[in-house]
Amino acid sequence: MRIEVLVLCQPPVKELVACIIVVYLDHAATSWPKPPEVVARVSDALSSLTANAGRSGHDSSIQSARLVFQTRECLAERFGIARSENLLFVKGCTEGLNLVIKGVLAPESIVAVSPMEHNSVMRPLMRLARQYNVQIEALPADRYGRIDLEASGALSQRVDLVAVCHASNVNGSVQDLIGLREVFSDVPLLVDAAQTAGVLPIDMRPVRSTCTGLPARSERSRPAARLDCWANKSDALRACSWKG
Amino acid sequence: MDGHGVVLFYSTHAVFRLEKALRNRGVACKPIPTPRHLSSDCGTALRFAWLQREVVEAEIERLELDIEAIHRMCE
Repeated sequence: MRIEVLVLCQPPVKELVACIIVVYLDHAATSWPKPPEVVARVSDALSSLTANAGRSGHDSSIQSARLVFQTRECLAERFGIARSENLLFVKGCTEGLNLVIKGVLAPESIVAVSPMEHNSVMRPLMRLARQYNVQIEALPADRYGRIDLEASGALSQRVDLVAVCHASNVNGSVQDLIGLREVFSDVPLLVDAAQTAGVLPIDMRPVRSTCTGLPARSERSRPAARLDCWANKSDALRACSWKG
Repeated sequence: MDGHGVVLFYSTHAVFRLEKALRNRGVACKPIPTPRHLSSDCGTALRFAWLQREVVEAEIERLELDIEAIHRMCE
């Protein structure tokens, strides 16, 4: 949502001056303004020779590949990811969520979701439910949508995936990821961190053998373009064989 | 003259992981185009002084890197 407010102000001079103040209320979806550092970095990349990363051995290509590597290393450190090569960059959070959902689930799978899931999770799940009989179980929650961990324990032995929106884009309620990982310790946990990556601490170090996914839209880090990542490449890549 | 060695990789990511680890240990190394006579791969290899071979091999093992080969290049 973009609101333009026309402000008429009377400066010391005689002319009436009109100026526009933009009140931008859609920051949670697409951040604005971008920090000057981001603008400068993108400008550098576009105005200098930025070659194909990882596809050639000449100096510029090697430099591009090194930047990609450094980015992976930064993100891995930030989110406690042991092996940065398992970070997968995708075009958007929705694409990341779809990759995971379609990569992890199989026909007849059972997926548990919070009551606060975004359409980017529920739409692909509903489609898989119709086409492949995937079962969707709503996790018990309080009036604010926060998952009741104790009551959720009964589901922990029979679900194939748990999908939770870390912070709701509707009411801001935040899920207890640490508690969820303890309750669903043997189940892959898909965290939609669109609203929280870069704002709230997220630690993906494994609890026992659980693999955890984090499609994280880095809007909170305010990149020039959305930089989304998924931190368990092997699961996500299985989606290639099951794209709806 | 000991010459230098070249590590061939399956992924570019592994090149930079090893480069970072070696530089942290003070071992000079440089990503280079994969020599044509060693592989038809169009990617990147890592060159190092052959005298440092043991350190390089130890880092490869420590990082659990999946590499294609290490070649010695005599000058």
